[in-house]
Amino acid sequence: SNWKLDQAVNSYFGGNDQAPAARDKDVLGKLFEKYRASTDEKDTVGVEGAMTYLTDLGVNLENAEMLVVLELIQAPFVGELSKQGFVDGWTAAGCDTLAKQKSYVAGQIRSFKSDLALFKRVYKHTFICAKDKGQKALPLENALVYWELLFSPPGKSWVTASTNWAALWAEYLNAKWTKSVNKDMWNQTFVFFEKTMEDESLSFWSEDGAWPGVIDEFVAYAKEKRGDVPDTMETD
Amino acid sequence: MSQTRTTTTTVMPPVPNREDLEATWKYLEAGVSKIMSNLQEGMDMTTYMGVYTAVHNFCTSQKAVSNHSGVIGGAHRGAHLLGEDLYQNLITYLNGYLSELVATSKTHSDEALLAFYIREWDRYTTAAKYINHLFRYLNRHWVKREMDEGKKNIYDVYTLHLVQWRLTLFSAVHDKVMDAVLKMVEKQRHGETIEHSQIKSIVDSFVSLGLDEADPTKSTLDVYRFNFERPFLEATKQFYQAESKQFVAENSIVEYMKKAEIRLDEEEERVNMYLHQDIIVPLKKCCNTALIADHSAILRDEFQVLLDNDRYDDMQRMYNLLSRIPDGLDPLRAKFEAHVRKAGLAAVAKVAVDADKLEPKVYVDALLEIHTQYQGLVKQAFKDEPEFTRSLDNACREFVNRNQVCKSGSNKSPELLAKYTDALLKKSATGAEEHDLENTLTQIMTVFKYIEDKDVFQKFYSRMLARRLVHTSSSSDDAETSMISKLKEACGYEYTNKLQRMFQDMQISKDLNSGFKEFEAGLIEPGDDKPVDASYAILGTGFWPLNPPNTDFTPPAEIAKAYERFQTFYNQKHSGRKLTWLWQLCKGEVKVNYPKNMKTPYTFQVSTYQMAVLLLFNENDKNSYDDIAKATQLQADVLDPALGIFLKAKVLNMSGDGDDKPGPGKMFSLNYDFKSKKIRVNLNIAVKSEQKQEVDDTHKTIEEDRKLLMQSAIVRIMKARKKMKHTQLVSECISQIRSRFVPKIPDIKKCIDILLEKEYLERLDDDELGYLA
Repeated sequence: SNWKLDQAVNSYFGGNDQAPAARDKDVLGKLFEKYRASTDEKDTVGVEGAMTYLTDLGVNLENAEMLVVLELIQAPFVGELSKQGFVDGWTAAGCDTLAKQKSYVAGQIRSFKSDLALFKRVYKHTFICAKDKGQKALPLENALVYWELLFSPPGKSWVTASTNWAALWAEYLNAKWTKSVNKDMWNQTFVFFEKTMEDESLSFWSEDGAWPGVIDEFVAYAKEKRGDVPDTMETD
Repeated sequence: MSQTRTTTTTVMPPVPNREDLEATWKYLEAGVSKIMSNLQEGMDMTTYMGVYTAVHNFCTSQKAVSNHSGVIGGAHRGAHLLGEDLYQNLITYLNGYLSELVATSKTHSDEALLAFYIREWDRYTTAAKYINHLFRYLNRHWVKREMDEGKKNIYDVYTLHLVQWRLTLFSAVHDKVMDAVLKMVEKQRHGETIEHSQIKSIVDSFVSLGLDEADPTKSTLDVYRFNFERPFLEATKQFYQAESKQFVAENSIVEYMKKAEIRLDEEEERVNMYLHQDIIVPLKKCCNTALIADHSAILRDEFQVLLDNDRYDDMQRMYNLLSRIPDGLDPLRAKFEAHVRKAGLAAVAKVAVDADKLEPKVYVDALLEIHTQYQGLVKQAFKDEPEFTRSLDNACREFVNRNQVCKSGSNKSPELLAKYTDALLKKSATGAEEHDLENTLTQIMTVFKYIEDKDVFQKFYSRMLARRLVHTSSSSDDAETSMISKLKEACGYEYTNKLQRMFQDMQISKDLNSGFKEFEAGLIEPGDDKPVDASYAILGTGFWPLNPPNTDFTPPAEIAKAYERFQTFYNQKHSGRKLTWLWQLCKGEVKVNYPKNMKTPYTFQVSTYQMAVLLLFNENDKNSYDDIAKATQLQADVLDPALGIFLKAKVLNMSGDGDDKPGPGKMFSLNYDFKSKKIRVNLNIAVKSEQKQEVDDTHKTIEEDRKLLMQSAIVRIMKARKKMKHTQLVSECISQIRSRFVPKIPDIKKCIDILLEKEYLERLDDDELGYLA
């Protein structure tokens, strides 16, 4: 039921009078401050407050539900909220009270599995907030944890008739991949996920394609595992 | 045969009254008939003038009463229209005359028919010319006006003759005439002699009959083409189809090719002898189809046999034949290319029994032999045709880069080629003649041209050149320069830039040394020790493929003074430059005066490391391993082999527990009983393992350089384009780098990954990449 977002945006841009939005911001700012501990930096909610807030929203901290919220309010890190993201996110969604937010989040989580655009937004943001401060890449073991979260309920499953891609991907990385996961690899994995869900035969793949090396090597790994007839490209 | 008619027409009727048209025509008809049948008897001036005047009178008669059914005579059309009567009368006459000829022709056939046709044609056309003259008045006035008014089917009198011939006679006899012609041609093809001028006349006659209906002043070849060329080509096709089919069944392919060649020449000759030039192209095509294209499959099958047996002449024959038909040579080229490749691979396999011990010269010679052989074939049999040359190049590139020796990757070929070149350019006992050397270097370039990994060759070449220069072991500066300019020509300035700089450095160093000699002489006080006689080479970092020593080293005091002086000298000249001493490349000679039973002192040629070790024995006859290591600061991996050589040469003796390898705890003592047959003893010997190490190092630097080369190419391309499709970028990258080596797509992709990670590039939508400044 992401129509709410549209509605909120419409009401925001539709009205000439900006006062309601400004008032919302004020209300939201106060809500935000409620979770901020005195030791937290300005305009920032630390780990403790973030956990409390998420729990107040009724979000499961053990699965992808948490990631949906973190994207919604553009949390800079897992376990840290920024005021800007919080206020902007909820203003856009038109939810100025905890109760409204709670029901909005519940709706988002329900449609998470079926709404590919939402899933993609959350997927991409996950990389941003999962990195450690100042790092450009995600350590492999962390990346594997987040992939697991994203590709399990309430997230989308990455399994087709013949292949459990999520499991195969993790298996391949554990066996062969020694480096960390950079942004390109993270995002391209999503593109690859989309393609495999449409065509599990991998006929979309070509060695000359724009895939990063890790995907090329995974394709070879997957084909061998599945016992596909090797095509001519590999013999070259 | 025309005797009867001759007598009937010799008598001319009396000159007619100009108003009496009927009489006038009678008179004219008699004149025309006389010319037509009896021209050889001549015509007297009176008759000639009479006829001419009669034509004039006929056309200008005022009161003429037309005997033609009222079509003309209308006063308004004028008197000149009377010409039409005359014109029609002439047509009627010609028809009558020609119909008689047709009837007579029936009594002839074959060659007699041809003779008849030609004789009558000659008579008729000659007469036509005269009659045309006599009827000039008609031509000039009535005919001209009719034509000017756009009337169809009105011709001048001469042309009218031809038209009537075609309509009446030609249409009735041309098939029979052609049958006769074709019978004669077939006889000739079977080797009989024929009167071919007859055919020539027939051709000329047929050509003359081609009148352009649209423009009577022009002629066309339509009549000839349809009535002569077409049946002629059809007969030719059938003849050669039948003949070649039978010949192929009974003879070898080579014999057939000879036969076909002869036949094709004959047909060409036939055109010159008696056919019209217009037939050249279609006749050639017809013969090519029947004699070559129809048999191209079996010809091509034979090609492999000819290749296998080096039948150059027959291959040339086949080339000549198949080059005459469209796409005839393509399959030959493909077979040739495959054959050369196979031959190259076989030649390599023969010498590559033990790939590790393969002599570079043996390998390169094997490659060259195949190239030379088949280049000769291309030249001799295939006229150096560019497409065959390309096939040769493709094949050579294949077997040079991908063969048994190159199994582990293609960079064994450039390595061996560079090593062979090094052997050629190095001083050796068997010094080749300058001229031979130049030739061999040219041959090296032939192989070089096919090498895909030119960067590998460059790496090995520059390392070996560095060694030749540093050790002054180059056989000739001219040859070195020649080789570098050849490489420059093949690969451009950038490829040889560093090589040239290395040369320059050596030249500059020469001058520097003489400057230093003077400088040093000024420093020596009377009573000082004579300075070490040394020469120095300043090698620019970045141009030479050399690394600083990988061991610490304390040079012996004996030479320390000398090199410190040089350092002072150099710093004066170029302040701020840092000198790094490449001790591992330095060498020297020491004079030896201790051995007993020695007549003349020995000279040891040693590395500087070895020198440092030996000089310690000036102080003590015995030194422990640890003392030596401490004094020289050399690491074990350098010190041990150096000592090893001394032990092997029995310069030093070793004592101590354990194995017979130098190491901690061992004692070394000077061998006073040292003996050698030679006065100069070379102890500066490279160890095998070091050489192997060097090759491995070289390969490693190649890999790293390649990565950098690919990355910089990608950045360069993206900087210029800002945005680019992935596949486009990859192919652009390959084309930029291909002159150095052929990059593999996965390697390029890895470089793209690295650049994405380093944020030189970003991934945009739709497989596009963007450049981030």
